[in-house]
Amino acid sequence: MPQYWISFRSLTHAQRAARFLEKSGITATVTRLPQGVSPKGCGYALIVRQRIHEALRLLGEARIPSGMVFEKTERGDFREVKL
Amino acid sequence: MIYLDSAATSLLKPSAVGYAMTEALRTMASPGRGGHAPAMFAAETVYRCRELAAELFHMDRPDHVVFTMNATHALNLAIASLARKGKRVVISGFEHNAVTRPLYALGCSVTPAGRQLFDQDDTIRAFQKELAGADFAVCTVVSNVFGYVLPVREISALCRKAGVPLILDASQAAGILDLDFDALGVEYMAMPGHKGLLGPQGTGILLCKEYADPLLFGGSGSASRLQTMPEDLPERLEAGTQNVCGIAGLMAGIDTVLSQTPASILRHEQTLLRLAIEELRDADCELFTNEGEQQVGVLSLRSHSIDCETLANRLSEHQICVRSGLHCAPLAHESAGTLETGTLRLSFSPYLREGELLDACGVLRRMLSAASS
Repeated sequence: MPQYWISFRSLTHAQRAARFLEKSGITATVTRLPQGVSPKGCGYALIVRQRIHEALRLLGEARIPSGMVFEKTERGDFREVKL
Repeated sequence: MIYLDSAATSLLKPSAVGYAMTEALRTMASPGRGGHAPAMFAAETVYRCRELAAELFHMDRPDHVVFTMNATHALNLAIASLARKGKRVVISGFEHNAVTRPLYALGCSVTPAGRQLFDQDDTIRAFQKELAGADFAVCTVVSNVFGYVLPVREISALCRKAGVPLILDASQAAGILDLDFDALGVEYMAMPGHKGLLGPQGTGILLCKEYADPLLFGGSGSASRLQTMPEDLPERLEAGTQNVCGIAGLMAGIDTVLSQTPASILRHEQTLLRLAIEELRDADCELFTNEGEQQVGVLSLRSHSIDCETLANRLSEHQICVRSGLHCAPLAHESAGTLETGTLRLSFSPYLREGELLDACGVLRRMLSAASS
């Protein structure tokens, strides 16, 4: 199953987004973003394994600001994806 | 001991507060300073506290709940975000030094509006008159000296109409009055964690409508390459390691307030207030009350024959804890005509029992009588 990482500018934004998605039945885990994919250093992400398109749509509708979306490959690399 | 100084600090806390703080001390690290379990556990606790505060104040944005050291810190943040030298600021006649001193330090021109104690109409009329041309306004929700509940709904409506940003000081109201931050439409609302919210000392909250400027600069746990503070709330205003133990305790305190509801806490305090008024009505002192109307569980009085500090000391010898003096609010005393004498203040909490208050009033009455004879 693909693993998507939605990046956020702050821990609190990631937490707010996680709560919001949980209420919609989408499991999302808050985690730190690897330095290599965190342009400003020390970013946060939500790991979403299901309904990624719906998750992004819901966050957009709720005006919860999110950043780039990455897919974590089986080798552990991060690849930006446009969804 | 009978504790009647909850307007300074609510000494009697729910047991859950101490438990939450101990748990935090044992199990939690710093939010945003690691992805390991203790850091994430701390982050979850801090966010949960934001959510509970947002729920209590009917606020849509938990991320706009900012943790501070106390209400003074929160007020300084709010005031510094709006104030510049020469700005004209309208304040109520019952503000605390936590409002007036920052305004003075920043060189603002301050206009007090509404000096009549327990006269909401006077307060409204005064704000209406003074708001034209003002840069912003600050108003306490409840006077810390007299328990006077100011008409903040009407004042916030006047401010919105005049396009004047409003800061509310909810230090004596948070946890006791039902305050709807979004409906009030104010710019900021500041409060301590250690009074009506039943949390520990060293905690405070600033609710922000939109934006605020930081007073402290430093680590925020995010966007670390930038040498400016993050734009986003709450991180923008929360530089440095947070008081996680305090916030955990505050979370438990707010949870208790939500369970008990501010309405029932207010009912209890007003029952106590009316009881104290009845017990002291014929005592040899001047009571500052509106017969319990537009007043929370705070009652000021002064003796005709004994200084309030001496009286407080004598009560303390009987294990009765009250506050005396100017209560860091000389403007409020000036408005009420008590600046030269100060007052003795009794203030109540959800955990004070009627029997305790009756005992304390009995001792106080006898002291007042002895002093006058």
